Amino acid sequence: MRVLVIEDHAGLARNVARALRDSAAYAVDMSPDGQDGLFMAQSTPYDLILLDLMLPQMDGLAVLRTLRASSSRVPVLILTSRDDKETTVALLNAGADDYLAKPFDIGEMVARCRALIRRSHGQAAPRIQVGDLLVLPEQMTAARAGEPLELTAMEYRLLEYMAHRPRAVLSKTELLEHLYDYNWEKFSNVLEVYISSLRRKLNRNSLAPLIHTLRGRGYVLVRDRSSVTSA
Amino acid sequence: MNLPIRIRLSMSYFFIFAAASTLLAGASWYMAQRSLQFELDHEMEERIDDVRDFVAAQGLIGDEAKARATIAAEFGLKDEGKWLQIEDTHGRWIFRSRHMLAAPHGIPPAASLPAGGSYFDFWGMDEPVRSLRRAFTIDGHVWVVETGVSLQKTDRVLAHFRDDLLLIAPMVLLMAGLAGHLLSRRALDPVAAIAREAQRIHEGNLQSRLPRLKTRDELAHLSTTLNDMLERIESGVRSVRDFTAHASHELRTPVALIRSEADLALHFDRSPRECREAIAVIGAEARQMSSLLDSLLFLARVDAGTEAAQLENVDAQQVCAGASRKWRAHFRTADIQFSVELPPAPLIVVADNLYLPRLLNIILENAGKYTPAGGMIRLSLTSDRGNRARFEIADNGVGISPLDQAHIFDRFYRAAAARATRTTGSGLGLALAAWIAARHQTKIEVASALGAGSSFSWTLPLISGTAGAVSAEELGGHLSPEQSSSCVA
Repeated sequence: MRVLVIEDHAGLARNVARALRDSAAYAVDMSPDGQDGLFMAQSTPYDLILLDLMLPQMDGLAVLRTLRASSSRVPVLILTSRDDKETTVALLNAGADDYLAKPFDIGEMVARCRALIRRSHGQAAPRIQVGDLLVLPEQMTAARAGEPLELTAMEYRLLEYMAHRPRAVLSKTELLEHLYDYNWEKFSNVLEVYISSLRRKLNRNSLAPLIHTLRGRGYVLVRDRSSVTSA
Repeated sequence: MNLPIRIRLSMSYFFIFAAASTLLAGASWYMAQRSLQFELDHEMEERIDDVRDFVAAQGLIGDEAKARATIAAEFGLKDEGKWLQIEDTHGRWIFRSRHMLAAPHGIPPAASLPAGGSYFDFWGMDEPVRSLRRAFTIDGHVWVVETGVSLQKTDRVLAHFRDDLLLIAPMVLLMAGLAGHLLSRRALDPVAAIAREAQRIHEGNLQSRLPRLKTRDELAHLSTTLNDMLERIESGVRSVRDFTAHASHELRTPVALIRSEADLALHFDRSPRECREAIAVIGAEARQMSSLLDSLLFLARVDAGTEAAQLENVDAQQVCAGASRKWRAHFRTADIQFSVELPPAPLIVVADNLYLPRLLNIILENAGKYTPAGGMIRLSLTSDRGNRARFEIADNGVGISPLDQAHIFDRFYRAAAARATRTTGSGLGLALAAWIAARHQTKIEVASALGAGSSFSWTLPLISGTAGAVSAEELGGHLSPEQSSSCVA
């Protein structure tokens, strides 16, 4: 999952980003002002945007409205210093998905982010089940056939993203866009390395393969490969 | 009167109309009566002229018997049923009509009658009669004639006319009352509409306005005036809201940072070094917050009017020297070259002993914030034009764009460049500086260009030396009205 934090207070933005990286394994980009933030939000397919309201250049509400006017469906969590009823109503009416009043609990923020991402993928249960694969975003762990998997942060990020979109063919570009932040050197063969190590860990005890390669199209996470072509 | 305007208007309309129509009815009755009477009088005059002409033409003077016979023959027939009597010079009867015989009365002697004759009202044959008595002279003989007309017919006409008036009057008045009511309602309906609309507007929908009336009358003026007032109220409320929003943003964001810093340090495995870093961040942010709180409280006192400058004689050279001592070390750490140019002798100005250093601190702090390492800041104090001391703080830092220059003294305003490069600073410092300058009856002049640095300067009246300098007492009297009022309280 890749998240954008638009917040002008550098210290707070850094802490939010850190919490999201450490406790949710998200790739995080940061933007210090509204205009830059809007540009980033429009040029990259983020899975979630955290948006401060009082921003230089362009205020958060304008960013939100512009985003929604361009029919962007990315979930937006507002970080606001106003928690009066009218502001909240105005925000939700302008297309925000949720809001957090400053100062907020960092754990609550991460939980809300998880919930928003889950919802945006049409998922209601906190655990993701694909066949005998179980992904637990809360603990950043996964298990196959009851056996916990030993995953690195990057492997987990890849698996979580794929588990959120089972049976969908995920192109390499899409995976790269959702797994790495701007500061990452984009060598696509790195992705292949992660895919293969993830495959190895998933197929332990000679279980049926879950990740399949569709040559020239991408990857798909599914228990029964025959269902892919029809999907 | 506590009655609604609508009722009062209808009532006044009714009363005025009633008075006017009564007057008009009375006047028309009077005029009708007068013209009828005029007509009667004219008829009687003609009749007398008729008699005179007849007497003269027939040559009846002197021959009484002939006169009696001729006149009786002529007028007995002609004036059947009318009132007529004729007397000769000696007061003897020449002719009396039958009516006159039924109610006989004499005629006053000719000498007592005025030239135009005199009118006489009497009652005869069960009807009111009006008569004209007039004398005429033929060949030196004075005859007197009285002719009368029954008033019965004219009285009946007038009575009819009066009855009709009395019948019509209540109907007219009723219509007048109704029309008055409708008119006042028509006139006041827009007022009621404006009142209804005005009632609808409250704190939550201050942006709504009263309907603009297309008419160019007093009511349109009223609604425009009310709209202008709403505009002012709205802008006042908006500025309070903006201030609250800004203040809460500026206070909540550092708290959010402190909290997140603590959360991260506590919930994740952190090395002692990382923990120390977190604590340092928290400490710095807390200091930042307390200075922000100071500024906010200061502004609150300013707005409440409890802050007042106490102007007295202050040595500007000393104040500048103190400020430069305070900031020299800070600028050295920031690798900024700091030069101070002060006059050799004390320079006594009229200023507040606490606010002047504060003003210097704000401007110096500001200069330090927007001057990158390697830059320079210069503080200078000069005697400007002999009777004013000029303070100037110039830097070669980032500078301020002309667009931002108009707003830098606004509360919570931070130039885009300032926001992008720095997170410290709330945007309150220069607002306070402007207030302090205003309390000293001076203005902070800004000269700046983006990338070339900025210069802030202001002047204060000098005490010593030149003539024409103002004393602290003189200025102090009208500079701090709050102070004098608080003394009374």
